[in-house]
Amino acid sequence: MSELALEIRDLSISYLLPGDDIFEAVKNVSLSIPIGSTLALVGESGSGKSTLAAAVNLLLPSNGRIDSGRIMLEGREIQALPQAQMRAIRGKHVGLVPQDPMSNLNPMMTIGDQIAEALTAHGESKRNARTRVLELLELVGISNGADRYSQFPHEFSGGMRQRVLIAMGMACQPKLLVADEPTSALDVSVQRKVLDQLEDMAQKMGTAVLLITHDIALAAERADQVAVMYGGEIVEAGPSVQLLNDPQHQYTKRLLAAAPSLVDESIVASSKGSDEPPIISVHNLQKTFSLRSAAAGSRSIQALGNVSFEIRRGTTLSLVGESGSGKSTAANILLGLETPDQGEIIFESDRLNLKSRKSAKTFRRQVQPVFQNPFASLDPRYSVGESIIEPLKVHGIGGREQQLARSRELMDAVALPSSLLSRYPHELSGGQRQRIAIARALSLSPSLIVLDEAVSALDVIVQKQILDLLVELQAELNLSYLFISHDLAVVRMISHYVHVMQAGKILESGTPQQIFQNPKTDYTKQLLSAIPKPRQG
Amino acid sequence: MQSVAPEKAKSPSVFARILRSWTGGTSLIVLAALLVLSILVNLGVVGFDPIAQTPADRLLAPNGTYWFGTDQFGRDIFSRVISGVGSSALISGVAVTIAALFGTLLGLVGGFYRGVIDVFGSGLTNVLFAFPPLLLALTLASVLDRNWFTVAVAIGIVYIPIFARVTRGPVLSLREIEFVKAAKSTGMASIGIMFKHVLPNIYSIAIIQIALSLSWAVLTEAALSFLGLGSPPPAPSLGSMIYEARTLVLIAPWTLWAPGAVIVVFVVCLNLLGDSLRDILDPRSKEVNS
Repeated sequence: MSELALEIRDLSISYLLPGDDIFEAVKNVSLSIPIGSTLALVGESGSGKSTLAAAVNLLLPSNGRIDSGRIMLEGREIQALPQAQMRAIRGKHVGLVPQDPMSNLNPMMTIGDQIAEALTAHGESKRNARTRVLELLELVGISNGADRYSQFPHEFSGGMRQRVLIAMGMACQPKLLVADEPTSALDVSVQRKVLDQLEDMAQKMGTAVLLITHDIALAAERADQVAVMYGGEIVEAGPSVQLLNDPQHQYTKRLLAAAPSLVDESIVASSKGSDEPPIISVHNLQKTFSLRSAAAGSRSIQALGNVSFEIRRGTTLSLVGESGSGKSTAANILLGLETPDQGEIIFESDRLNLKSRKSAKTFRRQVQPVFQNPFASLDPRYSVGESIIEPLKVHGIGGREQQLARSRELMDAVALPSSLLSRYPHELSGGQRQRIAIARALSLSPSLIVLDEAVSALDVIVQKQILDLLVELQAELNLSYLFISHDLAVVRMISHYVHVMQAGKILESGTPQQIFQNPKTDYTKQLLSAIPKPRQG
Repeated sequence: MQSVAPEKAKSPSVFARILRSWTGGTSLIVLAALLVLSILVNLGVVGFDPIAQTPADRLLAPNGTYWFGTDQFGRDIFSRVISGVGSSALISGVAVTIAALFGTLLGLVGGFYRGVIDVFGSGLTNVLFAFPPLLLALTLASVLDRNWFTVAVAIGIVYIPIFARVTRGPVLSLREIEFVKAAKSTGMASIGIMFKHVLPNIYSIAIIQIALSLSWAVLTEAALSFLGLGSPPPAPSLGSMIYEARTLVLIAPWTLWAPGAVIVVFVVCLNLLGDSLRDILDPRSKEVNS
């Protein structure tokens, strides 16, 4: 029985909510992880997976309670241990790698001291701790450990910080490591390296890993076993290859069907649009931002250097790249949120003079945005109906009655009941909010919609639904999309044409097929390799 | 937690929620009682004329007729104290209104447009902040003509920077938020966005600040009139009553206790009200429900 690093039996956890409501977050969950193996826990937000991860460390929020069941670490029951005893176990027997590398390091402490603290907390002497920290830094792939030891978190990149957090989690060689979405805050190409490092290290130390993730493709790639969680219950569990190839539960099937990296085909008609005239073309866009910082004085960053592209009517053009590649600047220029330093925009064969208010305003009607964060894209003080008809009011289109009729029509178009019109954003789910953001963008009957990471913040199943909706609307209304994303897998599903961007320049262009089957640059290859590929055999 | 049932669309009003909380409800009732009493005193319905002198009844200890006793001119201390609360509330109210109006506008416009306006606004704010509030109020009150309104203006100016600073930060993050960008993309004018999307989202911050500033304004007003720069005598004012009571404290301690105790009750109630308003309106405490 000591073969198991972690065993959970019939665990139920509930939260006490204001108003004495009880929310059962985890219901009768059982799972086990043998020493040295990896189990991935997959589920959407609210499925209870993070609650389960917190319970393994006995770090539930104060309103959370373990109602029944057992948690055993290396055969030892911990669920009823007092916090004082649990502290001796945390770090030593179970390590934790949290999600956000930005907020989980103390900005006032050197990296070395922070890792050393994980060791000295369990009785290691200061001198030994230092030697061990240097070993750990090397293990997680941070070279030059002796110099890096005395640096502060702000001198490290996001990926480096996440490695530091891994080093801290692994410092005492725990038998179990809980990694809660360890890479979702990182750029795609960094993700892969960090996960490789984590896997490598766990293997060397014989540590079992409980990997929490929303990405079933990632889970299948990294884990021996996958458990799918839905509504607080584990609906299906098994070896990852088996689960992937022969899913039993309805929810698992839906997850697999929605995961962009597993659906390797386009959901749009690929031939469409190549003979259509361009609805908009931009030529030689340039934009430079000047930054002022105390350390570096003033310097300028070229966000866009001579970028040209065109979008054909009824098609989707994608701009792909990591943060800082300039893709969002390009989107903001089309939306009129930034003015370019140089370059021109030709819209339906008219050259735009963006300095003239009148021509800008007519152009505004034709280009509407949908943004990334469904929680920030609607004003919390406006009802759904008010949000949707606001663009109509701005342009003085129709009377009150017509505007209301239009809002019902738009709700219908995004497949939401018009009874939601009187609701407020906080009453709606992320997917519903994103549909409303789309409805608002459609209200002026624009010809181009700028989708700036519009599905990146959504759970995969919701993401798939929104993508399907976008494709449907495109066919119905002959819309053109500018799709901004860091995720090539999603881009493959929805684009007709793709530009890969890096550091303000377009590196490579082509149809999704061309980009995927025959990438020309190393950068594109790197982005492609970041898409999780399930283990074989 | 997304799966938690959403809040009912019709949540009880802020007012009802204050009354339901123990501290908020009590302080609201005490404050309302004080204000109603002071109106009644000034109308002559309750107590005596606060400035009428009855030399025969000088320095009487609290009794059935004069509930809080009388002062050296034979004036009823109860009526003076209660009437003083009224004038203090009036001055503080006007002062905080001035501060909230101009301060919020400064923070809103500066944070939203940035640029020259912001540099100027922030600079002014920093300069005003460099002075201790009381010193600044003293200077202003001594420069201006002395009546209750100029005292209110002086206190108001002192508290403008607090409102400017408290609102500017949230405005800076709101101007970058996606629903503001979406409104810009529709072609909505900046000024419309500022008043329709940004201002409504900082209302609660401004309201909490108003409740907290009221108690400071009451203290500042009392301090100014203690130093002789409040509303001119013989108008009853809590600060000047304490000043006059200094020399009498050994023979007639009630002349000091009454205004002192009333200031404490008044300020504590305003603070408790502010606290419970914050609990109700602060978005962070709301997140627990949603």
